[in-house]
Amino acid sequence: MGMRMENKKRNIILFVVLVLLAVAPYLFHNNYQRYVLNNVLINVMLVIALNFILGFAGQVFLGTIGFFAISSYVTALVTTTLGMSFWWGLLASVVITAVFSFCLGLPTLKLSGFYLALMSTGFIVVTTDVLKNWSSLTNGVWGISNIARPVIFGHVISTDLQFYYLSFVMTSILAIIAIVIEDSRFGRAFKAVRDDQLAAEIVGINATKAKLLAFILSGVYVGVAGALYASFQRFISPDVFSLQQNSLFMCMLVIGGLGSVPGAVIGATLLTTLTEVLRFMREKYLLVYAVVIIITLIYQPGGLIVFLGQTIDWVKSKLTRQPRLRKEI
Amino acid sequence: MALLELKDVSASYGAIQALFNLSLSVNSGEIVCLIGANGAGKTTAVRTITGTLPITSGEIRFNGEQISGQRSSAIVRAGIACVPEGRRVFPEMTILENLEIGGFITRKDREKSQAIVDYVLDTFPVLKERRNQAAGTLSGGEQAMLVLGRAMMSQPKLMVLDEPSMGLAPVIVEKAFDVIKNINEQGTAILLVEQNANMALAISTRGYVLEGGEVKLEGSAEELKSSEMVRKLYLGGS
Repeated sequence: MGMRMENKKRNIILFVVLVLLAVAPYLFHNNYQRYVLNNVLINVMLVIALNFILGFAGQVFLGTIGFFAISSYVTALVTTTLGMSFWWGLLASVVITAVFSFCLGLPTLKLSGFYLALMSTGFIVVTTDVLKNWSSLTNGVWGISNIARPVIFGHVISTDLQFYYLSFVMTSILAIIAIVIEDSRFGRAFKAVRDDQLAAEIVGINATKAKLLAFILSGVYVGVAGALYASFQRFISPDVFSLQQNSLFMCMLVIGGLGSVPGAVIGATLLTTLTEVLRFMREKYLLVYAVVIIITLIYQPGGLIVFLGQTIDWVKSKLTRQPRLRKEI
Repeated sequence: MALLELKDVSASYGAIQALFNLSLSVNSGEIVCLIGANGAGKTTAVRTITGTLPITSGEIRFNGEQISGQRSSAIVRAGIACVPEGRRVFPEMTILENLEIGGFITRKDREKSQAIVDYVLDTFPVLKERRNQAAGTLSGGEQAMLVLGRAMMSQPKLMVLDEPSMGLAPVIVEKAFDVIKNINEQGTAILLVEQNANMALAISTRGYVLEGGEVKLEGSAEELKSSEMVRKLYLGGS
C-alpha cells in the first residue's frame, strides 16, 4: 500500500471530487453521457465497498459482483414479484446482501491469499449460475424487467438527471461514512489486521470480528449500489454480472489507490468513463487496462491518489517558494 | 497465589511437539526470566500465554481464571500485554496511532486513554518528538521503545516480553532493560523471555531455563547465575 496521506488532504481531495461529480451532468448533457454518469456513481459505491475488504482489511476476497448480482435481484424481485416500493427493495437489498457478505466472510477466518481469491471466483460463478437456472424465481436468462423507480414524496424519479442526483446524494453519504469509519477505532483495527494480524491480536484486537465487520460493511454498500442499479436500469439479467466486469472493479481500486476512499472514487470514475471511450475497441479495451495497471504498479503502486497528493505538494512548494525568490531580486 | 501459572502445558505445531509439560509461575510484582537457546520453545511458550497458539494439554491460569483456550483479545482484556518477538510495530501507522491501537481495550474511556498516551510519551521523549512519523521509519531501538510503550497502553498486570534485546546494540539493550525495570517498579509483573541470559538474570528475581521444550532448571536469579550449566551454556563462562 505504501501510502500515508494526511486526513486533511484526503478530505479535501474527496470533497473536490464530489463537487466535480455534482456538476458533471451540466458538463455532459446528452442522454448517453448522463446514462454513463449514472453508472459511474454505481461503480463508485461498489469500489468503495470493495475497498473495505481488500483495501482496509487486506482480505483478497474479490466477489463484489456476486454481491452486486444478489442485491440487484433482491430489489428487482421486491418491486416486481412482491409489488412493493423501491425503498422496501433498497432496505431488503442492504439487509440480505449484508447477510450474504457476512456468511462469505466466515471462511476468510480460515482462508487467506490465493485460496480466498479462488473462493471468491467460485462464488461469482455459482451466483450467476443460480440466477440463470432458478427460472421460477429469477426468470432465468430472460432477466427481470419493469423494476420500480424510486418515488420521493409522491414524485417519481424518472429522468436520468433526477436519478443521478439521487445516486449522488447516496454516494456522497456513503463516501463520507467510509472515511469516518476509516478514522474510527474500527478503521484502525482493519488496518492493523491487514498489516500484521498476529500483532493486532496481541494488542487486543479481535481479528475475527474486524474481518467480519469489513465484510458486513462491504455488503451494506453493495446493497445500496445494487438497489440503485436495478431501479435505474429497470431491467436486469444474469449476464451483466460477469467475471470480466468484476475484474474491472479491482482495476479501478488499484489504479485509484488501494486503501483510499477518494482513490476508490477517482479510480471508479476515470475507468468507467475510459471504458466508454474505448467502446470502439470492443473487448480489446481490457488490453489498455492491463497496460495502465502495469504502469501504475511500476511507477506508483499507491495509485493515482498518491500521485495526486504528491502533485499537490509539488504545486504548493512552487507557490510558496516563488514569492520569496522575487523578494531576493 | 501466583498471578500467572502454567501447569503441564504442551503445545505443538502440527505433528511437531514444541513444548513438553511446561510448568512455570509469575507472582505479582516479580520479574521472571525464561532463558534458553534458539529452538528451546521460548516463543512457543509466549504464544500459548497470549492465546495465539492453542495448547494441546495442561492449563494456563491468570489471576485465578483459566485463560487457556480463550481468544487473544480476551487475554489482553484480562490484563496480559505482550511485546512480540521481532517487535512488530505497525509500520504504516504513526507512532501515536501505534500507541492508540495498543490502548484498543481501554478505548471506551477516552480521557483515560489520553492520559496513558501522555504518560508513555513522557517516558519516551524520542517517541514524543516523532509522534506523527510513520513507525516504520524508526530505528530498531526506537521501535523497541515503541512496542514497550504500546504494551503499556493496555495497563497490564503482566507484561510478556519476547526477546526485547534481539538485534539491538548493547547500549540500547541496557536502556531497554532500564525501562523494563521501571515498568516493573510501577507495579507490573514481567515475564522476560531472553536469549541474553546475562542481562536477563541481572534484572530478574527468578528464572527458568528452557531446553528442547522442557524446563531444565529453575531457581532464583542468584542460583541460576552460579549454576554450572547456565554458566557454561549461556553466560560464556568456563
